[in-house]
Amino acid sequence: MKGLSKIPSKENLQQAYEKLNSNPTIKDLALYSQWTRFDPRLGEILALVVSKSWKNILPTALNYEIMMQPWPQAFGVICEHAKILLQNRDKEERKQFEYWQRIALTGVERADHQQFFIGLKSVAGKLMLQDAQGSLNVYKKWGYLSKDLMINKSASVPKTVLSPDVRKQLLEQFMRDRESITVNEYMELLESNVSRKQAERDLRGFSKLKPKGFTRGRIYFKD
Amino acid sequence: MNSSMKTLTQQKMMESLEALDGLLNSKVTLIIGGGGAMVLAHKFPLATEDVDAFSKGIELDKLDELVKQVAKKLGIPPDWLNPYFSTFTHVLPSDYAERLVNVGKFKNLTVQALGTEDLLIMKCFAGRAKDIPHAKALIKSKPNLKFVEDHIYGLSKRKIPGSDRALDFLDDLLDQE
Repeated sequence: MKGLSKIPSKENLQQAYEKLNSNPTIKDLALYSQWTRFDPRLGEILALVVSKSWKNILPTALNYEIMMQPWPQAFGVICEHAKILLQNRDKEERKQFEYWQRIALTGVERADHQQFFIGLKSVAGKLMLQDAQGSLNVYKKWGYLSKDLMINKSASVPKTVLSPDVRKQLLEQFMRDRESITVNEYMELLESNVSRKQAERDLRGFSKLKPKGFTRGRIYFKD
Repeated sequence: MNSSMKTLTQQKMMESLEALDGLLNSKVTLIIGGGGAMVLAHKFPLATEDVDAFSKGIELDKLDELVKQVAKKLGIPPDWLNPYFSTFTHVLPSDYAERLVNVGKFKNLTVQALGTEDLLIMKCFAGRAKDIPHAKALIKSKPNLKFVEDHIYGLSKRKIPGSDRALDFLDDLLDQE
């Protein structure tokens, strides 16, 4: 069997949202991680649940359930999102989460350069290609491609989830037809998948740009 | 499970698609790739485990339900139609629709297959040993190889993951010609 025994319906997904907000079992968490490939909103909820409840979840039991699923790597993606949500916790707690994640994902191998989301974008369309080109690290790490973060905007954590190579590439492409760029424009280009601090560092470090001004409104001109 | 139930012949595939058509009450198009396309559209004589396809005109979960109903009716594996194949189609040229090959037109269901060049592009990205015979067969049918090479090269310049490996796969095949 290549995939799920059943693709979730809208009703299934609604039930999953409710279950995640009450008392999901480990089996539920594993199954719902698969369903996130059809529904990013479910991914947002699941990542939040994992970030809040991981200490109460036995990672070995979770690993058993994950490995029964057709796409165990999908739970890896959820864990990467949970890590972002835990960014403001102390260093020790974040380290413990990493150990927990390692056990929960024992034996899980990367997927093979495939789109994370299924059935959401037009085949061979512009958006699919953008996903492949500007894929976020949280997906790439597990062999998937997507540029849509599964974190609710209200979570407001500082996050840089695009790799330096991808950021540089996107900046080069953007500057091909432009003479200048501001930090805000750069962050908009990267759909806020970069922290403001990192955005400033990127523009300062880009050899083809020269800054003008000293305030937050600084403009970077082509050299 | 006996081995004859594991593989789908050309006849069984068409029977399954016809059965699927019987369950539809609105127009749906299926575009097939992989081994199914090789058999149904490109006359490659093999039996494949499933039919890789993406759909237009029907929600995935609804299609999945009907696929399982067909499987039960015909005694074939429940995953005889693989809809997850679409997750690899970001490597296809955006004008792939211009090269589709007609496979069948039923009452509500239209079935088309990816064209030779597009199938070859996907085979290069799949890059497995078992893809080599299919890829060689596609090359023998004299596709526009420059188009294929230029497209994969273009993806490589855009740093699409797997592009360099796909180019190596194609180079290796062409070296053997």
